[in-house]
Amino acid sequence: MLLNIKNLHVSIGGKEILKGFNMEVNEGEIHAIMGPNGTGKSTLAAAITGREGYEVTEGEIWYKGKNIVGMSPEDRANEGIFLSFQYPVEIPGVSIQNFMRTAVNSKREYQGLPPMSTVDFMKLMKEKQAMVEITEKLQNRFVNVGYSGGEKKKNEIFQMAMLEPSLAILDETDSGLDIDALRIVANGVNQLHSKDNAFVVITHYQRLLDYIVPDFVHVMYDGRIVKTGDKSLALELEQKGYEWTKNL
Amino acid sequence: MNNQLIIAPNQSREIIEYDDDAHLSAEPKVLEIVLNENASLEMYVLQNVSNEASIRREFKVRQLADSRLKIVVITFNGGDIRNSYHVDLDGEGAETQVHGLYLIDKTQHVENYLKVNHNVPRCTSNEKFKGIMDDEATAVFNGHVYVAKDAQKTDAHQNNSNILLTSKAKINSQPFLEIYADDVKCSHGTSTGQLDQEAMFYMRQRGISKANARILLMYAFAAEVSNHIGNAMLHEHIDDMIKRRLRGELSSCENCVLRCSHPKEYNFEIDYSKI
Repeated sequence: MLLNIKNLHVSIGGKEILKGFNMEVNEGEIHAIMGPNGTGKSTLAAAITGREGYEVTEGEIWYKGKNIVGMSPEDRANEGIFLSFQYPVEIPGVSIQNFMRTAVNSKREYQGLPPMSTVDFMKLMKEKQAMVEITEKLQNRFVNVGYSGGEKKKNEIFQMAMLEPSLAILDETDSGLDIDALRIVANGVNQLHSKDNAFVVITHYQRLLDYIVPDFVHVMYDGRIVKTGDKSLALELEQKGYEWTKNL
Repeated sequence: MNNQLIIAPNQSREIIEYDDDAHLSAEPKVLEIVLNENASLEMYVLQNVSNEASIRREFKVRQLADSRLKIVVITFNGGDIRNSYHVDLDGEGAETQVHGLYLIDKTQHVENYLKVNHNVPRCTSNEKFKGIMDDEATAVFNGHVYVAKDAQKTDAHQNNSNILLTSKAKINSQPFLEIYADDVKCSHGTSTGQLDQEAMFYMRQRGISKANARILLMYAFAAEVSNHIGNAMLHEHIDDMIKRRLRGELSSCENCVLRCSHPKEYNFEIDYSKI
């Protein structure tokens, strides 16, 4: 099993947000997590990636056979956990190329490999850019600076393709995307998906799930999963609305 | 000590200076610069002296029509440093750029005083001063841009921004515009903050260590000043010094002729635990 979250309780500033969250994810699977605002979906992403300020008060997060609670964000990332941010951060002065090169080589260093040569790196960039239809030169573009919402999300998927994670969490990647960008993003995800990796797709709407077809759909409410089903659950949710989940 | 530098009409010069003339006294070193019509000067000054040393620099500039000036002063280290810039734009079409970067820690203190006088129409001035301050370091930025009554079509911009790495580091920043003309484009601004924690997490989520993420953010901040260095070789050299300074690997005795006075190596570790 790739990821096994057991009875996870997470607080922010003393306020409990996740209240006994359980989930099992195997290699090759795509899981969708749906639910109304403020139900703990983004907190879950923050807890798995090790963001400071999100305190695990109870429970365990097992990933590749290790309980990663307490592990640094960079070590989790280098172990293959990737988060596509709901709000990708702008970093003025840091070019995407320099950023990605540092990231790729950090992972290689973690794995005991030598840094990637410039030629190989440029080739990899070009190949992965094509996957998400980014045509411009990225050498002189600063990370996310001056990007539209759609470009930022495409850039997240590009970074994901560069780093080839085992577990990718997509936090509302569909929000703010027009239908073309949505198709490109989904296309990238589907190309990257293999029997060796898994995706956790956090979304409000079932629209994204027309393009990225999940094996499991979980409905979250008040800090835990209240219902799990297959992709038809997403359709049911779309018809009945989130009010319905409160009574589950 | 006073020096004069006069650039003849249509001539251009580039000057690179290691400001190692440090004293324990506070005797100012004054450089008077006159740029004649269509003359151009690029001046790069590196300040890297010991924690006991002080530097007092004054630049007094007079620019005639269509002359171009660029001064970039990078302060890597020094106990007590004061740089004053006084620029008179006396000929139409003159352009001036004054930029400064200060990377200080311990109890170091840096002051930058700036006065730019737009005395005639159609001149441009641009100043960007940036600082990264650790420990109990303190700095002063005092920028004053004056636009005379008839100096129409003036284009003047100044900005000071600072990253304070600790709660004990302090900046006193006062950008000031005094405008008597009515057809001008002027701006001024100041900002002070900590390292962007959102950006830190974003980088660490991509596998970049906390230490490297900090260096990358600080370097990106500093590069906005060093990017103004037109000389490619010098630019590369200074960028390398900035990176080493931020990593705590740059010695204050490097490039200083006063090696004898401070034979011991200084250690400029940045304390990562404070962020």
